[in-house]
Amino acid sequence: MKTMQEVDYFLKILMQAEKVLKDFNELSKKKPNDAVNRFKLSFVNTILEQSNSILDKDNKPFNSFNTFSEDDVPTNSDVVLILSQYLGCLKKYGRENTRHESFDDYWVINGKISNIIADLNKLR
Amino acid sequence: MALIRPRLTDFHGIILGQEEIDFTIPFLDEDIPFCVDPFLLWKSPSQQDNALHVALMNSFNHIGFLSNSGNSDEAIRRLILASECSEVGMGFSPKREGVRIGKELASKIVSLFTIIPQVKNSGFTHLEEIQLLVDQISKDRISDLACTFLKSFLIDYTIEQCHKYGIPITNIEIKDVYDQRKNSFIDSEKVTLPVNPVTSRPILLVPKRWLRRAPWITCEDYTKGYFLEKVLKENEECPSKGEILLFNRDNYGIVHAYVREKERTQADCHNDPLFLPIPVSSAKRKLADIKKLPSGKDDNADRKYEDLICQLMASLLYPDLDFAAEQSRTDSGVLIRDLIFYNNCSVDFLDDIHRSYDSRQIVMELKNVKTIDRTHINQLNRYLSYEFGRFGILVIRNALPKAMFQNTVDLWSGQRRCIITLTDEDIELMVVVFESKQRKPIEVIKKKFVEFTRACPA
Repeated sequence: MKTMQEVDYFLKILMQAEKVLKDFNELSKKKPNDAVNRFKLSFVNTILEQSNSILDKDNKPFNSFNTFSEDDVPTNSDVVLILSQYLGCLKKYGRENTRHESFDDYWVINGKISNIIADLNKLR
Repeated sequence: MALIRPRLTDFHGIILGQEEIDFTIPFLDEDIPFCVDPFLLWKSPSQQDNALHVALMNSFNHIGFLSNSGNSDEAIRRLILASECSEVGMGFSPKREGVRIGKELASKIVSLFTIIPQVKNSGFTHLEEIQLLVDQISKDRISDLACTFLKSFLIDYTIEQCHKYGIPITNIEIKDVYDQRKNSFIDSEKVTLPVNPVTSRPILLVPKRWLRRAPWITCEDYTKGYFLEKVLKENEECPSKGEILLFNRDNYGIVHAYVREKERTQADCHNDPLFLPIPVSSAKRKLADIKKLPSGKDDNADRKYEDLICQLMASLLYPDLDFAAEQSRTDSGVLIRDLIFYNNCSVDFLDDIHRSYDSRQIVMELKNVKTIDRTHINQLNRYLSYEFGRFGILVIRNALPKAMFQNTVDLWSGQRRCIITLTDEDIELMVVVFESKQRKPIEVIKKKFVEFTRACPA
């Protein structure tokens, strides 16, 4: 990551992806094969687009997948599958951008260890 | 090949869904099995409908006035004239053609104004009462009488709606229009109305809010709900219909009380929807039945499958696709059942199909077989022409084998024909979204169409 703003942006998307995945997990437990309505899907797609903009080629879960198509009528379980993959990859990407030093973890910004402490519990 | 069960709007290439408009779209070669219920005009919150009901009753009671002033022949003649209104195309006859009542029945109705003192003095308050006093007055007769006396309004209403939706109208003569000021029928009047291209006769449009499958006041309702419960004494045998009608004529007060009770319970009287989709629970039951059915013909499984799919699809796709008909045809000695829908272009992809594949009606061919082969696809392909355009849906049990899917893609490549499939899995998804309301079932068909389009060569 190059700036402090990028770290903040990354943490925001990570948090959103976690919350949305939690909600879809609940929905999927009740009705895994129910279709996702256009309203919810637009927000899932926004998170996926933002994640795609952050993740480099090596960390992107699937090269052939970018976002859901509304016309494909994805189901709750489809969203859970994809979001959990993205969440895992976001966390991996986050861990790659931290370094452990002097008993603490710090964010690496522009290739250098910053003085901003990273909470690794969020990235596991 | 012409349109299947053609409607006025489809014939003229006007794309209108029944749900979105105020009137019933008439069929060109058959009646709509509904009737105009004058009670709905009486109970309507609209001042216009109330005024029309008053005008209707004034016109009808004027027949009594004529009879009581010694002009019975003229009263009978007018009643006969008023007894059929073929222009509205409502009723329960298989053809769009009705017959007027005979002189004998007309005299019986006219005589009510003489033999019942209350009616002689104040006339009827509801046209439907005559069903309780004279035999052979069916529900569509009440509807026809109401429509004939209100024909002048219906002409204006039809012209207004035709202008609104661009339905072609032409100068034509319409017969027996009732003139409220002169209290008489005009033999014929020149008006601009839509014309039935099959019969070259004028068509009148009727507001949906006036329609019911049966009037609120009927002889059956009176007998079961009032006469047997409140009039007939215990241990008394139920009299015949003729005896009940005779009793009613002699005891008009009881008929009057029944009508008052129906007026009191008017809140329960609603117009009937033209199409009533099956409830979610029923859709789920039908899906479960479909999944249990084996493929093939054993134990009439094919017939059962077709029946279930037919009931399910008409409801799942309403109001995006209006169901037109279920029909059977024979191809290469095999009986094939199809579902035909009017293409309302209500969803973007339906509009796309209309433009790209000339589909004015959408055909679904039902196949309860384990594996689809080339013959099945060719049967539908041969059928895709004229009004169906070049788009068709095969409703099948399992996904197409790879080679057969490629066959459909090749048909698109060679002849620009689009054949998509709906499997049990797709129908299950349609039922799931029908229940959850997260998406519309029609979107599942769109999904299959998009998937097919993606597989076609660019």
